[in-house]
Amino acid sequence: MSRPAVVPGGPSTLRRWIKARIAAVGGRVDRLVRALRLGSAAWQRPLPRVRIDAGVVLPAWVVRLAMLAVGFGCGLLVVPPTFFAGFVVAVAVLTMVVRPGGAGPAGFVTAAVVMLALGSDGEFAATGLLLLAGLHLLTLLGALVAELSWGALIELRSIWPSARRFLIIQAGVQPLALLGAWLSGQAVTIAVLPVLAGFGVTAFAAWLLPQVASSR
Amino acid sequence: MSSGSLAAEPGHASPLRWQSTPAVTAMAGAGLVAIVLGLLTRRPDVAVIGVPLLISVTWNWVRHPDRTELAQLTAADRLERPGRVSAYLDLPAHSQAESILVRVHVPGHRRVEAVLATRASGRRVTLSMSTIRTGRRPLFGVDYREAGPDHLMRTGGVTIGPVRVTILPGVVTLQSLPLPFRLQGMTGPHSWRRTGDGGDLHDVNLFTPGDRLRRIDWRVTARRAGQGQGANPGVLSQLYVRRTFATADATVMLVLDSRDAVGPDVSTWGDATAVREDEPTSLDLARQAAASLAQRYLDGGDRVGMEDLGRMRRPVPAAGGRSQFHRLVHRLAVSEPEGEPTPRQRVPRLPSGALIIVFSTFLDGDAARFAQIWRRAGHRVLAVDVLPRLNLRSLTPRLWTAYRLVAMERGDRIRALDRGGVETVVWDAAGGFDPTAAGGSDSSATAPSVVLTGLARKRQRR
Repeated sequence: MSRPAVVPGGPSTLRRWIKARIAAVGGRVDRLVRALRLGSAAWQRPLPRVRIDAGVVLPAWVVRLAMLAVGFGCGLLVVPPTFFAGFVVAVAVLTMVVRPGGAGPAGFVTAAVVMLALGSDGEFAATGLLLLAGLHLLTLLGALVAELSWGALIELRSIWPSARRFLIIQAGVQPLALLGAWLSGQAVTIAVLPVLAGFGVTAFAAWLLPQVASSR
Repeated sequence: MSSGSLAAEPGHASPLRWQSTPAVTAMAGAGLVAIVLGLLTRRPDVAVIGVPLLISVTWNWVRHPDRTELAQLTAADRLERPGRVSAYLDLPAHSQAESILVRVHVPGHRRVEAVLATRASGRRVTLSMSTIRTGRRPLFGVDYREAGPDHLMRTGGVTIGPVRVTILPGVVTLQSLPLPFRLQGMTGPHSWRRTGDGGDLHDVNLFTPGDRLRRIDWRVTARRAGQGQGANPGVLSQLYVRRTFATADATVMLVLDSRDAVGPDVSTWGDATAVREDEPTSLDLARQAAASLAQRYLDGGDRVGMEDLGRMRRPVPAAGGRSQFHRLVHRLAVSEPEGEPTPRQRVPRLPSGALIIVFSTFLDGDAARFAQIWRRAGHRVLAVDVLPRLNLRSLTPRLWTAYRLVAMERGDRIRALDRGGVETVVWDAAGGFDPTAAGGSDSSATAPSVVLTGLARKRQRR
């Protein structure tokens, strides 16, 4: 595109030159808007969506938000309460939420484990159990949405087997963690320990008894 | 507007193969790191974090699926409701997959991704889209893959479909329709000027050889017995018969110009931009108009045939009955533009005395030229303008200039048709006729029944 001619002169010439430049930029913007059809009726009326008969569904972005919350919570449990640490955790979690596939969640787990090993004072508290569940949940959610778009629909029935497996594994691992802490001599400062023990036994029984009944 | 029906071809998936996702290796590595670090630092709360990760990986390795089943995609036989097309994705029974990942893409729609649960007894998932378009089109492509426990194992993606669906045009209820200048045959639903059987009373005349005996009017014969010069009173000397007008049927030829299918957005005319599914093209309007007219004529006992200007093939010969309607509707549905339009040097030959109805956008001169030639040959010709209501708001100055040139040429052609005795009407998306519009798409739609009644009376006055 040719440049507007500039004739040496006074303020009126400069004003005309400025107007010509603005018009040239405006013309480019107008062509870009038309090329992208941003001002057309077709864009103002969004395309309809294909309907799929999938029962009760959950959008994938809700799962990613859950990852954000769980990851941020787990991160804050292992880092010191400073602004810089919180910022680093936020960046790491956001990166993992945007790219949940591959080594993202596992890398976050590894970093959290290292921070826990190096940072805490060795006392086993309720945060340990939360971290145990939260990091496991994070990896499962990451595997679920790894190859899904933000707007994908997840049927709730499809994640029930994974949820049941998560509960069963946690019901077995949580008491294992407490047992390990007790055997190693760590100070266990969990007030609801009996409640957790009861929950673990109940969950284990809920898994075992149907298997026994079905085998008869 | 009645609902149409569909004809579809099923789509099958090709075999799938299971493979581990990168998350398996990552989780196993993170789990081992946690356990080793916990053992080295004598921190059981650190080591136990790796246990559920390794359990998940082990569970997936032990229970991983080793076979896949094929899914099937078929289109529904009938429309769910007018404007809604459905297809069925049949997930296999006894599938080892824990869930199915599907991505459904349909022309003119935003695609949808979904994770679906499997069932031991199999499952049918309904997919649906909204469209007012017609014809034979590829719809409902599905990208499909299976997922194992915790989505740690997945199959490769495979595309099922698209399924070719033929959407038949709907019809608009019409009433009186114009008839050709000359009816044909000795039987039919319409009265004709010749004497024959089955029509209104023509006259009562003397018996002549060839008259049927059952046509003798004994009352008139008795009244006139013995009258006349030299006749004996009370003696039957002459017989009188009642003569009626003959009935005849009309032959109607529908001439479809399927060489182009333009949408309301003028900016899409020059490129391959798809027309939206909620906007009819000129070919959709032509199909609807032709189907509506065919149904009305056939229900009235007339014979209807069809010629397609876009294809060099034999026309559908004129015939009557319900089966002819189905034949015509199916031929309308499969008519579509095929590459560059083949120029026709010779005018298609149509039955003499037929009413010819041309459905075209008249964006080029061929359809108008043929209409004028048929009119000069003595046919009654009706030109139905099927150009949809245009959207001119998003045009660049260059496109606007080009459109004006095309619109002026088109207007000249339609006015030339009017001068040549071809009756022109406009069929808009609402099914309206407007005989006063000379190619304009901004005229208000007049009720079809009023306009058609006027056209039908026009023939009688002639």
